[in-house]
Amino acid sequence: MVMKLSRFEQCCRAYGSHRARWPASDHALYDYFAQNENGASLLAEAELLDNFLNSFESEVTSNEEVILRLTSKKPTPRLHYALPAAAFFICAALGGIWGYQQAENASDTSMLSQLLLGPVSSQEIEK
Amino acid sequence: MQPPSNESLDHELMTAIGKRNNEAFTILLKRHCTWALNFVERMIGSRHEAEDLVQTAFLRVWQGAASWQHNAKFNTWLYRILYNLCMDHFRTGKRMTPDKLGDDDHEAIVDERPSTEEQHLEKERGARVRAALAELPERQRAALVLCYYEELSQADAAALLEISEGALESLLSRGRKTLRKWLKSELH
Repeated sequence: MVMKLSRFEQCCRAYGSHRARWPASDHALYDYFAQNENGASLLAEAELLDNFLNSFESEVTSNEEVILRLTSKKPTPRLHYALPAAAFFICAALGGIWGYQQAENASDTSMLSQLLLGPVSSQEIEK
Repeated sequence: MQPPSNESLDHELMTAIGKRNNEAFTILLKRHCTWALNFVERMIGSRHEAEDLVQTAFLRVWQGAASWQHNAKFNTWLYRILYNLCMDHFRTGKRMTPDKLGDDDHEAIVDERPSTEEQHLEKERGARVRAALAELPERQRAALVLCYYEELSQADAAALLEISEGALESLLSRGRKTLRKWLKSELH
């Protein structure tokens, strides 16, 4: 197996300085170059960023505390669902009212013949 | 904090929850709520909003327990629910909103002993990482959170993100590169 420093560098840049975070297939590569001067300097560089990332520690809370907070919390209203839903219902209601008014104005017989025969045929029959 | 690994217990609990057993649900919640909350917080940057999403996730667990596939790993399933909720959160136009230090945090230094000063510095460092992570595109941040903080294997993280392991490596490289640049600019 050929050990390539370029691949080692790629892994340092993607996975950082901890061997456990590297793909299992690259562990041998890690062991080989970690002892080497070039490899050690690449790992040291990656470690700087790892240390920075490590300072993002979430608040240490007990499970009980988390449960208490989750269960006592009222769900935040989801406005992004509520607004389109409200708009939909308003449009549906207005459409219903408009349709009802139109149906009241038009006589059923003429509308039925127009629907069955089409406007041109019904005009010919009337002539 | 990593998810607990006793799969057979999770399977038993899910079977009981499928039969609407409240006690089983409480046990499952106790086992998984803390890591779930930490994961979502790292993804979206805000503890407060993370609590909302985790609450929704466990509601989905309750609703989906009856139809849950027993050949699936519970942790993987819950990761999927949480990850999808985070993506939905971003799709609604919300960017990562890092929590900032509140007034209470500043008052703590004035009022209390020097040991709190160290706590405050830690919080400040944490806030800087949140701000840096907020600079990343969502997919890069997700890759970083899953592989770095959650310590998922490359295969599991790639499966969750529905990409190849090569693509995952590329996301991680680009994410870390952006963070390195950000860190350098912060130091200078």
